[in-house]
Amino acid sequence: MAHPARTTQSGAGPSDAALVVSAMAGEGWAQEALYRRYARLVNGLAFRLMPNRADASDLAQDVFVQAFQSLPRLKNRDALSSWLSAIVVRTAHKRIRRQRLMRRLGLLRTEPVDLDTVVSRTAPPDAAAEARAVYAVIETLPAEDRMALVLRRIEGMAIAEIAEQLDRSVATVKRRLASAEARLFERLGEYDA
Amino acid sequence: MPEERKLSRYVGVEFSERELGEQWRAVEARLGTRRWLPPRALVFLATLVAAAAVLFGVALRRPTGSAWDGAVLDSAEAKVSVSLGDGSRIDLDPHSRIVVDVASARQVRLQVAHGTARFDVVHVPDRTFDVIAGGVRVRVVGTRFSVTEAKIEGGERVTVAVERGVVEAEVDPSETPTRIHAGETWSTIRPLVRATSTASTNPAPSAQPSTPVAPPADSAPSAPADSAAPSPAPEPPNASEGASAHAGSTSSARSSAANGASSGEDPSAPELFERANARRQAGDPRGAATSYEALLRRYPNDARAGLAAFELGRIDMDVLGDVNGAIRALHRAVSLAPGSSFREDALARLVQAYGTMGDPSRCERAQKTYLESYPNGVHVGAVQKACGGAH
Repeated sequence: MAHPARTTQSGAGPSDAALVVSAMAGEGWAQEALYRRYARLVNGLAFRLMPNRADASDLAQDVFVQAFQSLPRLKNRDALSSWLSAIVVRTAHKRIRRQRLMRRLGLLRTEPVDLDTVVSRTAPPDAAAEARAVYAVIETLPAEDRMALVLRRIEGMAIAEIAEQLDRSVATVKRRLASAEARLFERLGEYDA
Repeated sequence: MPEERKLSRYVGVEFSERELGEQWRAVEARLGTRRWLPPRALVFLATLVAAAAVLFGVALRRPTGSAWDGAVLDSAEAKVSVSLGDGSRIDLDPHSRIVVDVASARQVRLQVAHGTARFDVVHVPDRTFDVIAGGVRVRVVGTRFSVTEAKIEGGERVTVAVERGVVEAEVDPSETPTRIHAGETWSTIRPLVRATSTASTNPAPSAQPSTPVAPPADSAPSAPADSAAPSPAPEPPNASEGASAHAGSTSSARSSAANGASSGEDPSAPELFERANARRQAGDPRGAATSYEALLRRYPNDARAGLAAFELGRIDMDVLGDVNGAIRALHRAVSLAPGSSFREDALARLVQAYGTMGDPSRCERAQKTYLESYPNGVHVGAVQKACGGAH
């Protein structure tokens, strides 16, 4: 499978907008081209939000199905990347909430995150420590706290952007983040610093 | 959060091509039955390469395929899979390239320029499907097979491996093609020849007797070089069966050095086109422009000329800053390939170029042409702003 072909060898592949219009017409080749272009982006973000290969793959699949079904609602056809990312975040949030509920009901077992798999060996020590701490605590956090923490600490998003993605106020996101970071700092041993 | 603390680059796992392929099939299944290319989609097809998915799909629906001739599918670092409009499929290994010679409702002719391509071809009545590599023509009825073109010292090895069905490999049009059955591999070594043999005898595959097949590709070649291949005649844009895809070439021009570089004084149109693409990929836009210009000068009627003009216009405009040159090239692209996928882009670029030049009257004329041709085009917004005034 091709790596997402944002540009072609000639430097002149079809634009996102062109592919979107064709995909909206139900043209399979255009859908596939869009998928190929964004598969790694979507799977990567999905994995960072749900650090389990199977969960991430299921999430990415849902995202693409939703995206293709709701292409007519895409306003800016050249902003496909951020639109897909927003769908990933929204869908991940729902799935994480559902998973937490199922765990409470005893219908799902908590699987610890395999930190060695999740965090790259090439990460600098401080970055690796922080990433490991984030993924060590996320399973203990409420869904919204968890999303806010990952989007902030891992994705590096601004608080306003997180608020928009989670459809919450900036104040709410700040509260969620403060709560999650408190748990994170405990983990990092930074509380006393 | 300071930007430098962004950790996403250190978090993640690699999803394999196989996993992504399975994921796409699952997505596709959930989306329902595939639908392929209504004609209006032609508007949105852009220029080249990865767009070959676009290109092939559309071309198979078109009564003539000349606008697509010369298009290139290049897999670069990763595998590329292309689904055709009829359900057929082409998978390119990394670093492989296919050139579309002809793609129409009645005929598909592809060249494996280098590397390996696997074909899973659905039989379509009254359509021929040929794959050419190193002067060997493989005629397909409905089957799955792969073709590998590999440069070796003093020539090139062409290997055909059939997984399902039967194909026929034709080294010399005057001889009976070799039938290759499922599970068999056939190969031949030929001197490096860019152009392919010209005559297409269109044999009925079932009517040909079986010919012994040389087992593994690494065994001795089963066919010697065909040095007496007839010279192709210049090809008009609407190439028909039997015409060469390499307009204006001569025997000497078709010969290349073993390292793949042209040794002839008069390179063929495909050679020039390939050379231009290679130079551009190597970061040599001036060299690429020179090759495109040479193609346009020597082979103005070649099927690749329109695309070459468009690419030249893009280089002039985007890289070399030669707006006048870009305008000339883009006008030429529009006139040479009026039904092409890149016409919309070329017209939009013309508007942009005239806007950049500060020529409002020409800019507005070009703007009008674009907006009349593509009222819902993807460049409408940019075109409306390009001439400075409100549209």
